[in-house]
Amino acid sequence: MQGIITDIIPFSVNDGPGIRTSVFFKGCPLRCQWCHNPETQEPGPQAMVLPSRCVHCGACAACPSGARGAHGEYDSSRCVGCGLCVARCPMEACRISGMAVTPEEVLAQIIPDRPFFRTRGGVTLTGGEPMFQPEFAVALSSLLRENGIHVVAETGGYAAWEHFAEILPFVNRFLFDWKITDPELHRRYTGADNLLIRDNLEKLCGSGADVVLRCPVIPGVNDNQAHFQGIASLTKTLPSIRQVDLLPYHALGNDKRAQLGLPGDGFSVPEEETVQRWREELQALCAVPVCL
Amino acid sequence: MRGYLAWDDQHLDDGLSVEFRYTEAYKENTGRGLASRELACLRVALPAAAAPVQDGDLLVGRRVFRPLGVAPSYWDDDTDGLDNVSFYADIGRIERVMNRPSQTGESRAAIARMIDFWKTENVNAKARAKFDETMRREMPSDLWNIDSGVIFGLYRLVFSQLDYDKLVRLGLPGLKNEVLSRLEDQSLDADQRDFLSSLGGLIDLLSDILGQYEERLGAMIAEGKDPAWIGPMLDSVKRLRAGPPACFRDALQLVWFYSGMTGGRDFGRMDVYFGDLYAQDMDSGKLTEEEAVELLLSFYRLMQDTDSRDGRIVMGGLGRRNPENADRVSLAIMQAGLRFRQLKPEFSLRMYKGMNEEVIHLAFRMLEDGMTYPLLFNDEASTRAVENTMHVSAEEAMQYGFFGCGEYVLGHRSIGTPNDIINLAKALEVTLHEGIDPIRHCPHGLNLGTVESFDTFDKLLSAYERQVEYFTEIAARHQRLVYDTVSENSAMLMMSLLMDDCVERAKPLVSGGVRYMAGTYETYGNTTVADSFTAIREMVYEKKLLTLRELVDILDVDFAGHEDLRQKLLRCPKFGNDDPVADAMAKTVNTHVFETTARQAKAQGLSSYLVVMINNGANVDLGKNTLATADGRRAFTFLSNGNNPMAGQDHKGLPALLRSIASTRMELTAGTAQNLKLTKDLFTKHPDAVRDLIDTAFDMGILSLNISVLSRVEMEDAMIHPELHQNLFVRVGGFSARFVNLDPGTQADMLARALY
Repeated sequence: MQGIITDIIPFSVNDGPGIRTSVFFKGCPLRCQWCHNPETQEPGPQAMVLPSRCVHCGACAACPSGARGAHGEYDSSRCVGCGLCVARCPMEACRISGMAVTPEEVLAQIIPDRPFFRTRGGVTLTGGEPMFQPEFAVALSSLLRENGIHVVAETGGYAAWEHFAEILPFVNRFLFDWKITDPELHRRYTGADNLLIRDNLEKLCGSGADVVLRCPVIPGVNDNQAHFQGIASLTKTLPSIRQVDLLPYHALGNDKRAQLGLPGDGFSVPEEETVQRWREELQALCAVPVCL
Repeated sequence: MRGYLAWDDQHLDDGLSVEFRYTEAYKENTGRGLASRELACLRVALPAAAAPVQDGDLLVGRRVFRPLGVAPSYWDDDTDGLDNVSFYADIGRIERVMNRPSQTGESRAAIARMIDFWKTENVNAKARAKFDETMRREMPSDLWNIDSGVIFGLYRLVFSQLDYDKLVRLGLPGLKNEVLSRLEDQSLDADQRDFLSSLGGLIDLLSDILGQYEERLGAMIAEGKDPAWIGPMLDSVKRLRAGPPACFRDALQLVWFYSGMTGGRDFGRMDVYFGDLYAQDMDSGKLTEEEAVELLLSFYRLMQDTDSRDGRIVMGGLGRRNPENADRVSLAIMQAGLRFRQLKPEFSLRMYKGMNEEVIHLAFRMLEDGMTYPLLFNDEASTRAVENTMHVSAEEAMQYGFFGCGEYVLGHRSIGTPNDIINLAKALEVTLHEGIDPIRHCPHGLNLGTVESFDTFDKLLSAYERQVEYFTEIAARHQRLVYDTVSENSAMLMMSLLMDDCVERAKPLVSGGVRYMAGTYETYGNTTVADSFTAIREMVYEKKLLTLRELVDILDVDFAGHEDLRQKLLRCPKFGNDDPVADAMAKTVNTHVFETTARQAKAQGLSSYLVVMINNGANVDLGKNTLATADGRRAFTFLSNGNNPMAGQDHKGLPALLRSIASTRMELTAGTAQNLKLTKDLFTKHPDAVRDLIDTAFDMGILSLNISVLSRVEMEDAMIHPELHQNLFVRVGGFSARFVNLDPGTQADMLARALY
């Protein structure tokens, strides 16, 4: 069995306890407008072009799928990830994001990092959406657990419950995204409403899973009392939620959007004082710690 | 950096009366015993070096360095910054006094005559005068920070850790009794008697200088100075003239005074020798923690004003007398450090499994504060390394200390001063230029053939290795020559009194006194050379993209017109990324110089002669005289330093970096510095991850870690030059990016986030 991932990044310390290695799954059912890993949205391999290295020589123009223009223009929606441009680029500006791997291959890459996990750390499945490749996610989690490795899964929650039920025994902790409380607004900014997501969250908590709620806060989108109240209400009704992680919007994803030939996402980065105020407001409402 | 009180020319009177008296004492006593002559000189020099108490001082013994004296090492940044050993003469400084407008023709002529005398009579000059033809050819200059060359000699007896525990236990009177009872031995020869009686005289001299302070302090009270400030100092000085330290304050006073008078700069296991008296005073209620911290702060201020480098304090580790007491005083030592927040002292912590968590916690707080201290040592692995490389028992190895940038020494049992340095990249450079230094345009090193004759990679590597062996043999002879010259000219009385075996054997330190007379050899550019060889093998011998001649010609012009080639060279595998090819090459290059160096010990009659890979700024200075290198490094820029990757060439993350570092056979050295730059964010938000990182690094066998939390200045530099900080990942939850795959603007943005 194979899955498709974009990267395996060691020494991740913000995605679960201790020192972790994060595996980024490719493919996501949602289209969050602020997504900071835009290369993980499409399920197939895609070329990425580093603008600072591109000299617009046109060596990549003979693209069989017509994704590349004569002077370095790039339309990632047409890219099929064949890799011809990577081979032809003299500046090493192109690379392919997305590689097919077996769970065993992922494990082999992670093994050298295992000494760093010690008693706290482990592997975090993230993305993209791990639950978008449920069989691969389950196979990888179970293999990791067989090898004594602590597993955290980060999820947007948008997947059939049966997949969650299947992976539940192999996951030590879920980092569960809660993006927008209002279902209609959720649809507008992510492409789907949050009814299935809420349902899965409640069921996961009902199953006794260890859950950290991860809440991206985007100025002008969900930095409002209604959403903060919504988050607080979840923490009060679902005791399995041990903590809320507040993830203030950052613009670093725009670099990768440019590499995919996409325009910037147009959101603005909040001031540090604003972020601190959000944390304080949310903490005043929530029953569990709110962390930045 | 300048401005240290101890070196100020303003301490020197126009007449240089002390220097004239000192010179007379030297001349009058030459021809008598070496130890007697030294004592006669110290009788002039030391009382003049003991400066008055200043406002805020809680300890006496403020030290002034005069331009003539006897010291393990003396240097003056206003002259040339170079070390001088034993009987030193700072000619530059004396000339500055001579040239003062206030001098008369007559006084100038007298000073000039004194200068003429000391020009050949100082021990550095005497050592150089003994150079053979090869040494003169290959070490024409001592100005390693300015001139071009493969090896340079240094002249010093630095970093010996004196037995301050014995000093605290016995006090000056106890030491005197020990010397006197040894003198009763009727079988001693004349030199031995001269040595021991001079040690006795030295102790009397130190007691007399304390007596001077006693008088001055008494006078200060009479003049109306606050007795609450002066009184305790006065009482302490009185007690120390009569017996051993009775309390924590006495111990601090005596150790500072002795070290100041020696000009010694390393304090060894301070937690051991202060621990018991600290615990006694705290338990009896005689001392509060605040008072202890204030006393330590005074100690640190005296260090800061006296010295511009070193000053290492060792804490923690196995093999301590009363570990609980030692840990208690360690906490006070670090608390004072957190308050002092200066470049000194250089705190160091020997970390072992099961050690006191409170001590670790406070050490991490210091690091988090951006102090770069304490330097962390892997205690178990360091003990094993010392046991193997210095050929000592496990019990003795457990008493290792370290100095400077982390070079091992056996506390008060060995000397291991690094007295030679090698620029390995320069050794490769002269090999590629047929034994010519292309900077000085003169013969340097062996001519091992034209580049065309290196028709296989192995031939090139062998030629480089022969070149390194040639220079290392000369360096080892130089190390020995410095010891011999010191031995022929002085007894190094201040050091000999507190180094094991000297009194018992009745022999001065480097004349058969010290138990282990070792040496160390600083190597620079190790990774530069290894990465260069990796690139040369791939580009010249495997892919055959160009000939070695073409490559050398391009390096000679610093890649002018060949930036594309430089980019290709930069993309060849580099040490620091867990790359098997690059790491294997580093292992080859490093193991070769480690073993070559170790082999020299026997020939030179040293107990060990070992490489130290340290991280001072010499890699920058040596780089200024090194042409471009095949790893893609531009001409005259910095070389690699310590056992670290080239800056900006490690981009695979910390685990990969640490795996590369661990692949070096560090256990064959007398210390390797591993730099680890972490963001403040990591320390504040993820202390557990930091702890796991350090514990894992030590489990991997890494001997020491020099952790720095990036300061604002460094972060700003990183934002301007992110290419030099490829391993400085700023962690953002759930964000998937490798630094190397982001545009410089975003890299700078990521770094900026860590400022908060």
